[in-house]
Formats: sequence, C-alpha cells, structure tokens
Amino acid sequence: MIAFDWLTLLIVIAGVIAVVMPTVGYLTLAERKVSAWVQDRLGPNRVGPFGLLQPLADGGKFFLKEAPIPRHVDKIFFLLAPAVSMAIALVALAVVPWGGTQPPPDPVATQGVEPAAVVQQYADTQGGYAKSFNGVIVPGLDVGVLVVFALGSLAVYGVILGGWSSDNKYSLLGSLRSSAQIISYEIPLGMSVVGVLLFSGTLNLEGIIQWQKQHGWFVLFQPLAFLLFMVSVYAECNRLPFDLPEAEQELVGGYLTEYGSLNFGMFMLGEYTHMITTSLLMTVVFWGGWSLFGLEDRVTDPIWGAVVKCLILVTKTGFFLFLYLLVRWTIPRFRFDQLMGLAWKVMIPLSLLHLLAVMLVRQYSLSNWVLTAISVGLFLAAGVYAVAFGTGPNNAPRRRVISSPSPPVGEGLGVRGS
Amino acid sequence: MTALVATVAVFMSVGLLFVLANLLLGKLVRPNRPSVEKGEIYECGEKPVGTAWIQFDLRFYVVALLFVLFDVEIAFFFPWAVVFGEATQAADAGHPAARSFAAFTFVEFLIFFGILLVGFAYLWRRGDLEWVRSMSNERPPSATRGG
Amino acid sequence: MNLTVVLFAMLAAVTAASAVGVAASRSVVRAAVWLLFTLIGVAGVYFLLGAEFLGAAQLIVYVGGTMVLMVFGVMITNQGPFAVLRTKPVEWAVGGVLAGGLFVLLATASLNFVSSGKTPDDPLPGISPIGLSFLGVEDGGKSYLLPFEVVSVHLLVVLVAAAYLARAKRRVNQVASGKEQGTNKEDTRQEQGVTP
Repeated sequence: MIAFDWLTLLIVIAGVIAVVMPTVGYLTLAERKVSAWVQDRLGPNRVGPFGLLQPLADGGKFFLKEAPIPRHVDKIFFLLAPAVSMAIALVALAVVPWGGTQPPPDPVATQGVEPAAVVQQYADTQGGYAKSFNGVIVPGLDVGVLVVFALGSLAVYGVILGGWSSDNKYSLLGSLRSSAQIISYEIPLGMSVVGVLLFSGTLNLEGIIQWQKQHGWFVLFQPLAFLLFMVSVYAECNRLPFDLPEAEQELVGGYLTEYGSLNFGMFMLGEYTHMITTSLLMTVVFWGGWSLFGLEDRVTDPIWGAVVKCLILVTKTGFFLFLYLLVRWTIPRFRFDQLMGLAWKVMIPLSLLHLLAVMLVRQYSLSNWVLTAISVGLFLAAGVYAVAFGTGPNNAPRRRVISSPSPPVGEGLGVRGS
Repeated sequence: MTALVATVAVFMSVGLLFVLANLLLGKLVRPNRPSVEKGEIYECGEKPVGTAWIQFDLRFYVVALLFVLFDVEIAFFFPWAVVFGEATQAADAGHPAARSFAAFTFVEFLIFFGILLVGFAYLWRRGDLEWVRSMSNERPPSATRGG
Repeated sequence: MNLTVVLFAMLAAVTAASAVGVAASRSVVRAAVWLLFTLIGVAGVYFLLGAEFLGAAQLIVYVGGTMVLMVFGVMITNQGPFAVLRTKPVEWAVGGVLAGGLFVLLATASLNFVSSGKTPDDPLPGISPIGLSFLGVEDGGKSYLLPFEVVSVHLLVVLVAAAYLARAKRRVNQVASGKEQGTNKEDTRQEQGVTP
C-alpha cells in the first residue's frame, strides 16, 4: 500500500495547474511571435514590453466577453464538451515522470512463488519507491504508456460532443472530420510505441527512461517510429498540417463555430495542454526523458538532482513545442482524402513493417544500429515508392471519370466533392 | 491501487473546482445581453436550411469500425510486447531457453496478427480504404449533383 | 480500508447513475453519452481493484473505440434532432426483471468474494502474466492460446463483414436510383477490382 499524503498531493496538483496554465498562455504568445517571425512581422508588441503581458490581456478578454448560448444547441452537452476536453488533457499530465531519484520497481514474477510472498515483495519495493523523491504525480504506474494512450483516445469526445450539440452544419462537419482523423491516427501512434516496448519490456514510463539511460535514446534506434509518433500526435492535436476540423476557409471554426468566451477558452486550453502533454511524451519515450549524456548524474544531491532533471525535461519539451509552432507555418494543410490516405495507406503499413523489423532485430539479437539502418531504409523506400508509382497521398488521388452507358447531358463528373 | 484512483479523483476535483471557479467569476463579470440574432445558428449570415442533425456519410462509420478492430488488436499487442521484450532481454543476458521462448511467442504473434492483415489487404485491394474512390463507386445519378 | 470504500462508493454512484441515465433518457444520443460515463466508471473500478491493464484496456477498447463507433452509429441513424425513444410499460417490466436478476447474480458473486477473505488491496502483478497466459504458458492450469487466436479470426470476420455492409449500402443506393438491378453486383466488383 503506497502511503497517501493528501496535503502533498494537493500542493503538487495545484502546482501543476499553476505551472501549466501560464505555460499555455505563453504558448499562445509564442505561437503568435513565431508566426510573426516566420512571416517577417513584428507580432504582438503593444501589451507590456515585447507584448509579454498579451496572454494576461487575452485571459481577461475570455472572462469579460459575453457568452451567448444559442437557442438551438443541446445545452447540457454544449457546456459539457469544453470541460471534458480540458479535463482529459489535464489528467494525462498526472502520469508523466518529471524526474525521479529511484528507478521504479519491476513487476513481480508470479511463477512458483507463494502469493503472500508476492504481495510482500510488491509492497516492499513499492514502499521503498514511494519513500524516494519522484517527480510524478501518480508514481509507479505499471501501464503508464497505456494510460496516456487511453486518455488520448478519450480526447475525441470533447470534439464529438461539441460538434454535435451545436446543431450547426459547420460544427458537425468539423467534428466528424476531426473524430475520423483522431481515431485513424491513433493506430500508428499505438503501433509506434509498441516498437519501444519490445526493447524496454515495460510499459512504465520511468522504466522506459531507465532503459534509454543505459542503452541510448530510442530516437537513435527507431527514428522511423519517432517520426510516425510525431506525425500522429500532430494529427491528434489538430495542429497544422492536420487542422482540417478548423479549416477556416471551408468550415468557419469547425466544431468551435458556436462557442465563445470562456467555453471557447477551455477548448483552447485543452488543445494547448494536449500539445504540452504530447511534447512531454515524445521527450520521455523517444528522447531519453530527463537524461542528458550523464549530466543529470553529476548532481548527487537528490533535490537538486530532481531540479536538474526537470530542467532537462522541460528544455527538451520546449524544443518540441517550438517545432509544433514552426511546422504550422512550414507545411500546408492536407485535403481530407489525403489525410485518410496518409493514415491508412502510408503510416499504418509503415508502422507494421517497422514493428516487424524490431521483432526480427530483437529475436536474432542484432545490433540496435541495424534497426536504425532499417528505419532509414524503410523511410527512403516509402519515398521512392511514392515517387515511382505515384499513389502517395500527396499526389492527386486517382479520381476516375465514371463511364456510364449513356451519360445524361450536363452531368459530366461522377465524383461528388466531400 | 487506491492511491492511483484517489490521486486521479483529487486531480479531477481540483480541476473541476478550478473550472467552476472560473465559470463563476466569468458569470459575475461578463455582460449578458441576449438578443434574437445571437441565438441564431451561425452560417455566415445565411438563413440556415434545415437542421444539422442529419444522416451523414457511411464512410465515417466504416473508418470507426476499422479503428475499433485495430484498437482491439493493439490492446492485445501490449501484453505480448512486454512478454517478448522481457524474453529477449533475458536471452541477451544469457538464457538460451528464453531465446526459444521468444521465437515461440514471435511465431504465435505473427499468426495472430497475420490473420487480421489478410483482412486489411483484402480491404485495400477492394478499394475500401480509398476515400474518394469509394465515393465514385457509388454513382447514384441523382446524387452526383449534390454537394 | 476506508478510503477505498469511499472511492468505490463514488465510482459506483457515477456508474449506477449514468446507467439509469442510459435506460431513462429518451434521446438516443443522450443515452449513448450516458453509456460513456458508465463505461468510464467501470474502468475506474478496475483501476481501484489494481487491474491496471484491464482498466486501461477498458478505456482504450470500450470507451475510446466501441463508444465512438456507437456514437457514430447513433448519429447515422438519428434522423431528426432527437429521435425520441418511448419505453412501453411491458419493456420496463421485462427490463426491470432482467436487471433484478443480474443484480442478484452480481450481489451473490460479490458476497462470495468477501467471504473468500481476499481484500481489494491485494496488488495484482504487472501485465506480463496476462501476456504469458495469452501465449499459452500455463498459469494455474489455464491456457488462453486458442481463444487468443480465435479472437483474431473473429476480428477478421468483423472486418470483412464491415466492408461488405458498406458496399451493400452502396448497391441499395444504386437500386434506389433506378439502375438496372441485375448487373449491379458485377458492376461494383469490376469497378473496385481494376485500378487504372
């Protein structure tokens, strides 16, 4: 039984919320500043020095604007949707290890041991683990990856509820697109993580960091898995190039069309929190988490060590957040058929092949670098295949003109636009 | 695991309190001047025709069904991946029995997953994964004009 | 463990209340959303019992997967703003009897568990034992290798059936639009098989 300390827990949770909320605020500012930088503009610079108080002004506006609830909406779900969206994004933060002082206990073997002994052993290791200082809100969660994955799959409900309850055609179309997109990209997301598990043999996020500390970061051995993971989380977060649900040129605001004021703000908060969570996850699963070439071990004091680890983790996460912002202005938006084609015909087959390669490498105990070569090879082969055969998602889909026996006059196209 | 659930419950309630406090604060300070126009459906100034709660395209349903199948498959992936990972780690540490056990699980899993891949290949071949083409196969002449 | 009981009471209340919501709500979509909360509550109970993998799998497969499918299905069939479900008294009676029977069954099972002397705080080991039993390694005399492989065949059947249903719908459209009925099947085949 893990000791349960209400006060510490409350402080930690309040701390996390107090850190995440301003971070989200300044992420929106960073978003605008980076956009301005990419487009050779100045960006927000009126509120405070360099526009640094802009997030405060934005937050104030969320409170001060009127929040009209249109008459036609399904009121309960209309108000529930933003809360669901934000709650799910926040809870995922609970399992991310920010830095620890002791590796988590391994799962206990059950074969040939007395049940009482198993329980005792488990309690001992968990107790020793719980006594040490660990920067994770829910320590020792054996299935950490799985829980993050599960919470990610819940994110679709905020979108579905918001879009459906609005009774607006733009909203419904946006939420349909978004939910189809989110569920499609969840599959390559899960499969790319399985490749990591085959090496680490554990679902525990801290265990995965420990493995990387000993053997090197996963991005070195599985760059393809990292790429698939990254693309999938971009799609899950509805970020450009996958922001079809909110494609303003065609859908106004997508599922957000009827929302305003703080309800809109909560959706945004959820979305940006999701970005932070996924960046943390990319760091933890593929980029070694809080490890940095042994630098974190130089500091022997446990508290300062945890601080250093946390700083390393935050720096790496910040890099991925910056990448999010940069990609937005680099890659144009996909069309919906390209989006679905990319998920089902490129990323899922690629992740399957990659998984097979990982299995073979592990089975025959080859060097990890062989896997790097296979990863790069698969990536290049996919590119060559796409160029040579021209069926990649970035090429025009092969729309066929339907040859009906006697085409009626004035009906040339057999393709209905979606 | 009481601690886990308790932690999440506390987290949820703190989050909920936070949201409710914000909503209450917002309710107190924000103006409330409803009007007929504000209550209307936003469609860029056009009068909306009909409701948005319509029967939508079946392709979304097929995607969801495919997703559920692969989701179940992935849920089975995870325990297997842990076993395989542990077995190969043990084999690397010098247990020959673990190597053959890993090979055994490898083959078993290939059978398990191969069966589903047959179905995936079938769908791909029949063109069910094509978003646009599956539409063009429909070709009801009355619907070709529709948006 | 007092805290455990409190937490269980909370989870059970959420689960039961939303289950009543499913049965009592008249809108199909609302019923689906209530069912969502029921399933989340059940996942919470699994976590409380220490079955982490089962809880996460419940979230992934049922809440994240099957419920999306159901919501989509409801939306597809839901003609008009609120397809109103009216429950007849007979249906209430039958449902009530079935629910009562299930309650008795579950209560008996739970009381048996209490008398077996186990506590909900016994930690369950990690997920590798689950994987091992899937892979046919004997664990307490139970091997699940055959069910494990049968699941795969089952999924294949569902996959092919789903594709077939999606195509059948298209043929209905064609028939409805007045095309000659006899050649439809071959037509569709031909179009889908050939890639230009």
